[in-house]
Amino acid sequence: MKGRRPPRLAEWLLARLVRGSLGGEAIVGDLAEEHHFEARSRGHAGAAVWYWREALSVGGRVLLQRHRPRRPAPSSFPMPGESSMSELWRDLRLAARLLVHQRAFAFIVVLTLAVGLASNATVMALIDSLVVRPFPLRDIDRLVQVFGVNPAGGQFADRAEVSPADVVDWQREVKTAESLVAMEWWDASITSGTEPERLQGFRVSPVFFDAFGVGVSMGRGFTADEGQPGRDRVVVLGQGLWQRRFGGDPTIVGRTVPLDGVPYQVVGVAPAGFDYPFGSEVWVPLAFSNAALEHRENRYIQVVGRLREGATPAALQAELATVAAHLAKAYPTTNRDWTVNVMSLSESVVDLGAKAFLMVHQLATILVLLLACVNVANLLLVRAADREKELALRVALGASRWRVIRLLGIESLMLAGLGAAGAVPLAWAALAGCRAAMPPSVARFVRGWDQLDVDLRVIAGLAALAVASTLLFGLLPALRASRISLTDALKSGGRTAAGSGRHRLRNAMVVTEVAVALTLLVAAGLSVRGTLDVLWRDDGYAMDGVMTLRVSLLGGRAENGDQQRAFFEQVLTDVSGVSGVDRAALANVVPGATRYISRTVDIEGQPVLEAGRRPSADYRVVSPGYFDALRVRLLEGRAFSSADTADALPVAIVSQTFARRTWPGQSPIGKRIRGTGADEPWRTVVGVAHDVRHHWFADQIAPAFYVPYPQAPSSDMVLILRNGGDPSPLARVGRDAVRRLDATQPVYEVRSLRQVRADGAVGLWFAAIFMGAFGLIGLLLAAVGVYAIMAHAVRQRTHEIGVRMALGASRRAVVGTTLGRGMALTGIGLALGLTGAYLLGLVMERTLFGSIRLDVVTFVAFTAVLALAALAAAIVPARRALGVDPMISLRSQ
Amino acid sequence: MISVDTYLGEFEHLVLLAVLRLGAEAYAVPIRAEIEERGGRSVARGALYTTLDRLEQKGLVRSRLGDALAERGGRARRYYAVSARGLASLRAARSSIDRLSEGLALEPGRVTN
Repeated sequence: MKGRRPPRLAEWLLARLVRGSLGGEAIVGDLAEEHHFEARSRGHAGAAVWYWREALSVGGRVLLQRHRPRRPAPSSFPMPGESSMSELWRDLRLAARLLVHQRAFAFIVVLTLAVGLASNATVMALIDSLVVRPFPLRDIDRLVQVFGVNPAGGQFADRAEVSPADVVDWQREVKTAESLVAMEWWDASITSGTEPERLQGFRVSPVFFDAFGVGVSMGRGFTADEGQPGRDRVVVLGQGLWQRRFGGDPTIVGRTVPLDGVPYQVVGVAPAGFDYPFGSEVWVPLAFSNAALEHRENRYIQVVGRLREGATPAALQAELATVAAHLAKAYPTTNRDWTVNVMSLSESVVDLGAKAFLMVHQLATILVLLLACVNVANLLLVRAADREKELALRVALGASRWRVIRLLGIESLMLAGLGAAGAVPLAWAALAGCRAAMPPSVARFVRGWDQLDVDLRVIAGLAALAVASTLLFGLLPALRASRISLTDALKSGGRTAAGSGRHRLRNAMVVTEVAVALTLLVAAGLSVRGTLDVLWRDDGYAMDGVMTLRVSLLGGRAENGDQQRAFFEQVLTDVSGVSGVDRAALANVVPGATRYISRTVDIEGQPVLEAGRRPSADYRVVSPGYFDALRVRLLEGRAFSSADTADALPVAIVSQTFARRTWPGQSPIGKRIRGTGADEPWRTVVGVAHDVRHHWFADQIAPAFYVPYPQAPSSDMVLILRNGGDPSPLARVGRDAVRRLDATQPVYEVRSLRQVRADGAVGLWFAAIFMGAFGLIGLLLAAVGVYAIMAHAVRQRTHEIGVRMALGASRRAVVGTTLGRGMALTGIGLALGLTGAYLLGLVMERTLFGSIRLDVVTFVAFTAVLALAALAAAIVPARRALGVDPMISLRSQ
Repeated sequence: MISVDTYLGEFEHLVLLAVLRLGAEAYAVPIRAEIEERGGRSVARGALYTTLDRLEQKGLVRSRLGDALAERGGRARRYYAVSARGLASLRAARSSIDRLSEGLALEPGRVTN
């Protein structure tokens, strides 16, 4: 059935074009009907081509008809302005005929503009979806996110989470907000049916669905009393989950589903498309236990507020700041100097850094468009030179200067319009590629990614850019062409002096082309190098030949430490016996994963700081084989061994950064540390491990400490398998091992370690691919452009060269002047381009979290590449100058 | 008697005749097929739509929407019928052509001047 539908984009376009005309809807229907028959005789692809052609022709015709002045009725007087309208119509037809006549020329111009405009449209669509309106909610202006501000500072200090007790106090005091919703991250496994599945869920205050103003599509949201411990076993399912696992069963409300092995009663289904926060599929009420409310130092709650009618985020900020100040006074040990940060939700859900990041790319696309415009302007200038006689004739026959400018302006606008039309499918394809290339595990954190499309707003932007570029590439040639000297142009020699004005313009164009192209090329080089570096550099562990599988135990297996330990140790023993597995290990988090677990730490012999200011370190629970499996080098002491059992002396291994910061100049071996927590023991440091960089964007490597798995069992672990070769077969080995022990336990996030890192750096990938593409397009446009300009210059000077050679100039001298001029201009362009590239590089260095370093090699290499390309583009015309036969060139007039 | 002050272009003429021939089945797709088959000329779809639009504005045809159909992506057909005024125009055009052709030898092979 799918193949029988007309191409969606074409149909959409047609519907837009014919909308408002009498038969609008029916026309779209007629073509759909005929497409049906065409598909039978021409096949799918043929019918699609047929449809595109017909849609554009029908749509264009209907659109023109609508805007065409009606012929006056025979009895009526001519309307004022009518004659100029029909003149305009005549110019339009004339311009259209010219373009049809010079198809090759028009094709090149339109293609150049389409590429330039499509680059812009793609980035515009990204900005529109991800930054401008990432969250298509009706009441988005009234929704805010409230963060804590950590006085200890750090990279994301103003986006800190909040403790349960603080939220409860805020909720009680706040007046400018209708509600403050507390949300707690909650991964849950659903175990009904055959295959257990891991779901993204959140525990939320009961008012959640009302606060967002979305309601539910079936059943109800939560009631206030469901926010009490013991009454919170109810769940709202996401629309997608309901369709996927329950086949959209209309009787789902009232039934129970097992989540993490506990039965929850379904009370409602969320509306389609609603998956806040972070692609959530299940929501349950958040009920704070008394224990949770006692620990203000445990900050793990996210807060979203709905403002009262007319209230501003600033008002809420001021109000909550007062509350926070009170809390800081009342609970100095945990809350001293902690303040709040209120952001509009649409601002806070924008991926950190995405704005600046996309702006840099928009800048790059504008440069691409600039190059395209310069190329087109040159083509138009060249053509204008060829058309001088035609235009002079028009002027001689009485056309005003204004008419000539208008005729040329209409031609330019038409070219830009066609370019914009060509850009739509290109941008559409680019965005489809973007959507397909993004792994779903990352896409859910990029709010707005799923709405990426060439929509009306993007098309409006495209149209504006097309008009702007028309001014850029069309105005100068038109003005110049209108200043024709009749006597010169019509003289039989037809030779027009290449005036100094024309020289200056041409020189400026060559310099611009080279400068812009170099800026783009260097930016591309920096971006690609930076990304490859992040993907391949040594971050302190070996990632090749390693498969990772996450297992979160449910039910009885998760009940206590002994059960958990027994299960995971059995899995380790089982997989270690499988042939093809060189090493097996466990860890709570693997390097590069988005998951992040850190703990505050007490150091024996050092003063215990108050809760808000304790040093924090990455917390890694690992099995003894971990360091070996990931090749994390031990710099001092020993690794964990099988002797570090649950009953043995509690031990830890610290990272070199941890050691350096905590005990500068001393050996950490034998010192004792303790993670913050109720029954955490003092652990003796037995080793120092090489630093591991967990996140590529972290501005510095965080301190970390490792504890042996048997001493800190957990239900949520990652199984690490290494074979040193292609790790993909290990996925099955790991899955089978878990399934043999207990088929009801979910295994998920099955990825090679290299994939883990690639997924984490997918934003950089996109940056590299985009910038790389812009750089290549820039190089191509500049090479073609410089060639065209130089070639035209030589052609115009044919006569002059002929005279020079007739008067005895050597061939060397002729080539020398031609080439010399080109290279001088190239040199100026390169100098300007290096400056531009350096500035753009500085901006990129900031916006890409330090993944980019300004390295001399990239600058030098691409300057050389561009110089060579420009040289090649100048040499060909210069050699042609050599071939000029003085006799022929002088006789040719 | 309806006064006829509307003159038909050649293509308009053909379209009106095709609408008449098709009767209840006259919507754009078969109208075009009819003109192509009987009229022996190819017809651009866009031209047909703009002409139908113009004829309706001149009051020479009326149109109504049919039911939405699945094979058309849920869109209705627009059926056309020649109005009384349209018929009068056709007659007027026919009679002026008849009067002007009277006595002329137009059959193939017998063109005399």
